[in-house]
Amino acid sequence: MATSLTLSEHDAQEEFFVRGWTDGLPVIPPTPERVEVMLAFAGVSGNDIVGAVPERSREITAEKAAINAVMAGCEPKHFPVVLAALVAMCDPAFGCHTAVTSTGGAALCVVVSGPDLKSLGFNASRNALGPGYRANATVGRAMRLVAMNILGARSDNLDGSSIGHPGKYTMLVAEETPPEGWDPLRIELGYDKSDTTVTLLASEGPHQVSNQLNGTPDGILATFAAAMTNPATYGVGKGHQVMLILGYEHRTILIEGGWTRQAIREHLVEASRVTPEYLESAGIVMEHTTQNDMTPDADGKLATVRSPDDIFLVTAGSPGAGWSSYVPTWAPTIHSVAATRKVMPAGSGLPLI
Amino acid sequence: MTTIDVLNPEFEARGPSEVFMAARSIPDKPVVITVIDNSKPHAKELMTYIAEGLSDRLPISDIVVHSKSAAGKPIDADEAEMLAARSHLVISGLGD
Repeated sequence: MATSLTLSEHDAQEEFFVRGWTDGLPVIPPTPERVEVMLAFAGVSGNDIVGAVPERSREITAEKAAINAVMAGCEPKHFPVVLAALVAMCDPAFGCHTAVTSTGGAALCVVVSGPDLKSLGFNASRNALGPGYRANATVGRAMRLVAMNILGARSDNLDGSSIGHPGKYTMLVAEETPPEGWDPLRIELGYDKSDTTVTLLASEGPHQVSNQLNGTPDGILATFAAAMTNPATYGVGKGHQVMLILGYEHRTILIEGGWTRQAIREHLVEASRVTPEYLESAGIVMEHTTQNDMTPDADGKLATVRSPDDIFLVTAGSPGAGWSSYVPTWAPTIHSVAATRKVMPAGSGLPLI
Repeated sequence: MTTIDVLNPEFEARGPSEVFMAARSIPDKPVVITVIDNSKPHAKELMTYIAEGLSDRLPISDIVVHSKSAAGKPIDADEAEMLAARSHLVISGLGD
């Protein structure tokens, strides 16, 4: 059971700042009543173990998760999404210990795919990565508060980010249901169309991708490949994962051009291969006999993403002029890969898969 | 003044566990030192340099470098047992 404090209502906010329990923004005071409502909605008890990070000898109980979700401003109906994302975060393959500590400064980027995200309050359309929607803002924020308060990922403690980025406050992408003929992300990841899933990536900030005048699939894909091969991105030439958030015009051009999701991913795996000379011309030093060996393959090139499965395609965003977004993970796959879990219906407890 | 009860959001250990430090002594027989190279650039060289520097203080028979596949991944239990079995002292812990 969490210990409690009795504070004057007037001073509660300031006390949370003083104790270093916030991300720098005000929080909702986590009263026992609010936390209990959160737990009851998800059908979990406070002592349930959501997951653990063994390298830190830390476990995350449902109660502590709920406290931080309340503080983040989540509604109870969002808590099952937070729980699923936390279970994903504790998947060993995600490499949480490193992801929330690295000097690279990764966000805990939550990608939600589901048949009825609007009922949960998620915005997947206009300003999809921007402000204005409680669900988008608070679920991502809850993840960061858990990392800070439960895992000790604070700037004065175990968060070693040199620069970081604003996505470390909150970062959530809600998938807009793709147009007819394209499956949503969750199907591609092996879940049912009726499921709601969260996929968690340890990511850099989103990079906006602009192509407003080229109406051809080849042109759009060439622009994506250019975004994916920026030599200043750590994982380029080292084999990392990436997410492409396909905006309205770009996905429309690709779909009408007959491109399947798999064909796009396969094309971009090849189109994002780079030569050592290309990277060296940008001042990048090739690594050999280290963890990120950069010995070229037989074609003289290095993989930026090694497999189509390392590219996550998500549709989001409203009609505009021709914008998409590219989100690279912060490190090669030897350090971290995305993890996905099913969001359990209300009252159904923790996800197993 | 209205008061409210709020819950602590931080990790709270379930109770202090007793921890014993390893004995501090200078061995009278040569020892094997293993250094764990986290496989970042120059890590192996730095860790080996540190281990060699201990020769002023310890009788060292061998310095073994164990390289991890990735800095972000801990060694697994089998590796840890293997290192413990062959070493008198293991030096780990390296940042960027």
